[in-house]
Amino acid sequence: MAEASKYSKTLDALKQRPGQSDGPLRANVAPVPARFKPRSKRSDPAWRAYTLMLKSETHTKAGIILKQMDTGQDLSDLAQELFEEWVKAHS
Amino acid sequence: MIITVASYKGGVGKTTTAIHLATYLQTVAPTLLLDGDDTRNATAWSENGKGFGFRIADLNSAALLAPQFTHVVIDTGQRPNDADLKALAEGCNLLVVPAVPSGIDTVGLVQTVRALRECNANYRVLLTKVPPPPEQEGQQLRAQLTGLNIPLFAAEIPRLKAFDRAFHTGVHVGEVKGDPNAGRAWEAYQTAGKETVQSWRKQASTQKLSMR
Repeated sequence: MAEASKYSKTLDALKQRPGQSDGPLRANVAPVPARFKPRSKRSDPAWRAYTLMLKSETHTKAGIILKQMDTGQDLSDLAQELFEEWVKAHS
Repeated sequence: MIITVASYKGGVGKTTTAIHLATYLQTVAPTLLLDGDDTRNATAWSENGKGFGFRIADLNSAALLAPQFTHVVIDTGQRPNDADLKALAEGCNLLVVPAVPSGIDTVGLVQTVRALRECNANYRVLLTKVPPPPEQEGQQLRAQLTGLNIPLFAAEIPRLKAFDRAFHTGVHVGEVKGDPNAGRAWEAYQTAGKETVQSWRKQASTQKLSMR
């Protein structure tokens, strides 16, 4: 007789979840209790606040462009993306 | 995404890896950690503190809870049998295999990789408890595995006391206070988490292309 796996039932249940195989990250996810929602950057230990100097004109223009793009990306997301690319390119 | 953390070898940091990958994934989308370990190590870790940002449950709760979560991490704990490994290989997007770079531990890694290859699993080895320089074991194991075409995380997890402190205070390592290495330890798992998400996105886009 074939050996049984204690994970079979669990994995069958997980397969039944909607939109998991190839959908976007948040597709078809039912609302979750507030305490399980992703943290804000300030309360997320992955992020830390730093002070850096930027030319005010650049800061203003970047803010306007981000608003026009309306992707939900903010200045710190943009800075993170640019820094990450730079670090990747130089390591 | 469903991730399983598994290895035939004990003490390689399976629970630590499961907890920290779940912590990272929770910053991306709602995440559930299924504690498949009979000794409930992940649950015990959580109960040492105020709980984690993600949800922990046992395997029996999967059907009820899973629809609420985008990502599921399964901690297999003790050595899974062949049937477990086969089921997990077929049912997961990625199997993460933690491996400690030391001679004795490598034997268990070889057995695990052989079994995963037989299952045609999508797996990736994560080097854990990597000793600091001048010790070379981490680099040596990486070179060996690369030479054998075994998929590896670019990230590797340093051997640090901060993880013990995290367990005893029931927090993830990034929240350990008064340990100068805690940030470095958390950054290592964040990098591994990012690689996991990138791998899943790549897998998803390949699936989409093949369905067209």
